[in-house]
Amino acid sequence: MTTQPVGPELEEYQYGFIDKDVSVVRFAKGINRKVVEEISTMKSEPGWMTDFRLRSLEIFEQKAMPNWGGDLGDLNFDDITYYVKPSERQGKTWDEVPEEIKNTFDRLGIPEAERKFLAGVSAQYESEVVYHSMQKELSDLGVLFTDTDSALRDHPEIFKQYFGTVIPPEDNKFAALNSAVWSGGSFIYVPKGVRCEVPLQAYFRINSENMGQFERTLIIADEDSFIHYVEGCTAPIYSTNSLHSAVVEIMVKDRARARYTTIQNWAPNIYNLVTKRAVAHADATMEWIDGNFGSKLTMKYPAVYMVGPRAKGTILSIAVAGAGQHQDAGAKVVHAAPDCTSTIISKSISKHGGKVTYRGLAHFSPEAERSKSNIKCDTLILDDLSTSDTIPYNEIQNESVTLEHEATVSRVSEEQLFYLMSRGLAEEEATRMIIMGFIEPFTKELPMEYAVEMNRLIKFEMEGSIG
Amino acid sequence: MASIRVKALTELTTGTMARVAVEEEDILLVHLEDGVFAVSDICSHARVSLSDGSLEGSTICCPKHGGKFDARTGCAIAFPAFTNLRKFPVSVRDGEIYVEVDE
Repeated sequence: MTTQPVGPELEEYQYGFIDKDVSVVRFAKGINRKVVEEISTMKSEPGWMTDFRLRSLEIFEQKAMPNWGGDLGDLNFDDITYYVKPSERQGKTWDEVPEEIKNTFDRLGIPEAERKFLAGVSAQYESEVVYHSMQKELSDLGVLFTDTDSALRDHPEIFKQYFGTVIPPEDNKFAALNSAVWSGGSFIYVPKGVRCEVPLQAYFRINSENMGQFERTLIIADEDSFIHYVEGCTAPIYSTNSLHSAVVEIMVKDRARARYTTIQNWAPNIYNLVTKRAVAHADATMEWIDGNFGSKLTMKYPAVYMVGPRAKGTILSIAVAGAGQHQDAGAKVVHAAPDCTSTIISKSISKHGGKVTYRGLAHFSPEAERSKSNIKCDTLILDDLSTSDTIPYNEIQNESVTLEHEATVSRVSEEQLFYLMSRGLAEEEATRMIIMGFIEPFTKELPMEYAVEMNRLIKFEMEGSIG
Repeated sequence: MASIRVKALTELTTGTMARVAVEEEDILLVHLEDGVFAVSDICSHARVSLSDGSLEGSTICCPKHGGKFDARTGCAIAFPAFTNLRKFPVSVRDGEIYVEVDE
């Protein structure tokens, strides 16, 4: 492994190491009909999926780039490699994974985490899942946890029933792009009444320069079930841009509960343009725990569509933007049935000229009798160069609903600093402690092992943030 | 309710749809094998004209974000649409299509 020197515009990033290229298939740059057909042919997909991909490509080509959100001016679709196959086959043990790639995941701590506290792990490198395993106890209960390509092949009926139904390719330009060239991602089906008390995890690693990673995740929590899914992402630092554009669709059936925890820690040259949406049926609960670190630009707004009575949606997010970074993140809660309740807690930190934007939607349809939403957006700005915007959209079509929205923007207060420093803490330690307190509502929701990692990450991110 | 003539049946071939404006209301007429149906032309998701979309069998597909509606009932049947379209009573008399709207 080598480490590329980091340019002055990029802040330190601990996962920025680069592996040598071990790919077995690498497409030429650019996207066209032939690329899409070749991906589908190579994966031996059924005709309906090839047609779906080609229709999605047409939609992608027809849709204009978003004229809102972040600056996408440097994103050149012709300068991206859309498919890289890193190994000939998927490993069921880490020994079956090519050594170079295994070393990378070792360095990222995935096998260790798997041994300690996970019920299943999926590891995607470039375009394909290179390692996948799940505890036998879960498969005996009928839980399906596999990469999305295998799900299309091995569980075609359930796959076709749900795929593309929560986020159709017409939804937005990047959902269309993903639909055209998707590869990898996770597929989970939890049968009725089955509770997966131990989390399943997927880890996504981009290694190549000018690479596009387009994983596709589909989770179905059947009635009365529970699932906690955790995903992490990193990439090397290059001077050119890469693109991560995922689509995540989640169906939470009656009385089921799904929790989706993301810790995205992309290198500062990644455009992270992701569409995540869940549908919660009657008495179901959907929780997005969404941590956004790094990337050049993130545009991501996890959504919960509450379509059944008494459905619940929670979106708890944190976004940290440093030099040259823009986190345009937020949440969408759609109340489309009576007595639904939702909570959004958004914590943003900007430093060294970084920009954070909270962009959220709270929608109450005419059917949303007595539904309630509580939204709280807090921003901490650490210096004069950094900025923050809050852009809430509230659409209320029913008079019986309750919507509470609070937003605060603050700096690390002199008073708090003085208090802590008078107790003997150095300024940097005191600032870090204040920041840890600020994000505590987020970290306390993480599994303990991730909370420890998150605190370490925050500590690392905040180094040199004083003054 | 008022019954308003909106189009000659010959102007709307089977398997097609067209937008008409009635009493400041944009209405989408859909001609299926089993009759003519009328729903609101404005997508309940993002307020675009559904007449610019496509008709797949009896399903109206929104051109903007891919939401889908049942032409016979106005029911939303695919995300991101979730709110039903308003439905209007339709009758065909002497080769003319009439839509009933509030006066």
